[in-house]
Amino acid sequence: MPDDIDPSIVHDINSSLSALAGAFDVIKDEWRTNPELVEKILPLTLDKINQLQLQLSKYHRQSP
Amino acid sequence: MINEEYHYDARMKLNALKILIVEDDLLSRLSLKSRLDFWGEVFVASSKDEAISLIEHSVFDLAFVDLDLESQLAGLDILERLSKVKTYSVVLSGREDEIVIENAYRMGCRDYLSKPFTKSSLELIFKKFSSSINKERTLQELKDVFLTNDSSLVKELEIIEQALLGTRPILVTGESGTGKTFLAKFIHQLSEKTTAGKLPFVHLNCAEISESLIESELFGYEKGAFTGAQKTKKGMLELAHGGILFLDEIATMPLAMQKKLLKAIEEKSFFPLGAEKSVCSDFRLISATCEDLKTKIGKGEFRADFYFRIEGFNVSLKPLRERKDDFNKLLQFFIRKGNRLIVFDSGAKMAIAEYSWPGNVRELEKTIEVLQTKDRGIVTAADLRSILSKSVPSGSKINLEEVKSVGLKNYIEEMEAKILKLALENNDDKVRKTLADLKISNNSYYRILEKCKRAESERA
Repeated sequence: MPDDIDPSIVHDINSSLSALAGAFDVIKDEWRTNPELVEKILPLTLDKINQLQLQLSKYHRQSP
Repeated sequence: MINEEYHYDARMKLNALKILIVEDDLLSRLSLKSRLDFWGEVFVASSKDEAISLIEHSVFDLAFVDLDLESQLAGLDILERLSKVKTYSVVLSGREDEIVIENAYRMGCRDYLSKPFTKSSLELIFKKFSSSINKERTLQELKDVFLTNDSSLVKELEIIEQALLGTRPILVTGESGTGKTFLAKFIHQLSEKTTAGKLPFVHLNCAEISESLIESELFGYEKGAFTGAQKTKKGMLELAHGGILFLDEIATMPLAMQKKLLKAIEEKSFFPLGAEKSVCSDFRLISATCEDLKTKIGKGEFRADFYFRIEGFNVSLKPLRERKDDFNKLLQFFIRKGNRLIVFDSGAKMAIAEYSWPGNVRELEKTIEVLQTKDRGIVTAADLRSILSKSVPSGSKINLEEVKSVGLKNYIEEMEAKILKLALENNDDKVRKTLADLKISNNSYYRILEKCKRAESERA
């Protein structure tokens, strides 16, 4: 990681990726059997994607 | 303690663990909860205060903690609290800096999962959690079967508990009668428990079998491979596939065979005698010896490359004379094992404590067995000496008058015969082992034996 990048951005990106990976696993495995859960998770997943997009832009702005 | 461990294990088997998730991100919380629901009852906390309140009111088996909650690194406090109540805690964090990871471990976390993590890393956590539960129990079982509380022996047994998690070879060293074969069989039992299935256990005492037969026994042969090979026979290496091959008295393994065995272990395949196709076999190797293999390597009597292949987890079993604190426990165990209870008078107790027990636990067991057949139920020092003197040469008590009367040459020959007889007895009549122990050649062995027979017939 370049020295001039705030480590908290990397941390936030990793956290978002983790949340998304977990969410996609649940959606993939549960969309037939547990539609209520998937319905709850889908909008949160979309929000998280947007959040990740912002975090990635921030990262790329800081990286040389 | 042990009951608590069983309790955990039962809950794990029933998927009834109590699990805590501490995570401020709703999406992560929901998806992780969905993954963990399978294992039991899952409680969630989205803040430090919520987590603390749950920890104060309930005891959790496992906890997954995000380090950054409403404030940075707030999760560290939670780890400390969980560690105090002995909850197995796992950190989930996107932080990769070493100082944070070190702090988390210092606060008591058992595993640190870097975000993003996969489903398989969660499965690994449950495996590790399961083995940590079994760890205490396994060690207690080992202490119980070895009847020991001796701290240095317990340390050696702890190596076994670690060894059970992997497949690396195990080398057990210790004097004759210290329990090397017993330990190998017990490792097999424990391995079967871990895998929840039957595993082959193939035992070969390298000293019991002649050099010419050892190859065919280990590698097997095809029909017609040599004169007398009337049908195909599987070798011990093949029979041990998926399980344990126990090579006892490994120090007596011929050098040429060490080389061949080394190749078979490394390649996990070998050619039976006379076979055109190789046979695959994957087994865990347990070797045992009462000799110092490093000294033998120095003398060119053991291959260094073979040694480095058979060692992995090295366990050294203490001789009985160094387990003074265990002595009474062992004594009582063997007395109760027999049908007739006996007691030792003060002189006998002193004699027991002073004796060096060269045959170790095996000798103690046999001695008790003999004492239990005697008329008197109270064992005296004299009773004990009459048995023990048969198994120990009284080397220091040379009767000069006797030497003078029979002549030095005859006396030495008689001593040779006695020593040979004793060594054969100690080695359960295994000739090769006896030759190796006494460092004598085949010719010397037969020469002494011949003289013995002649002397006996002359006496008759």
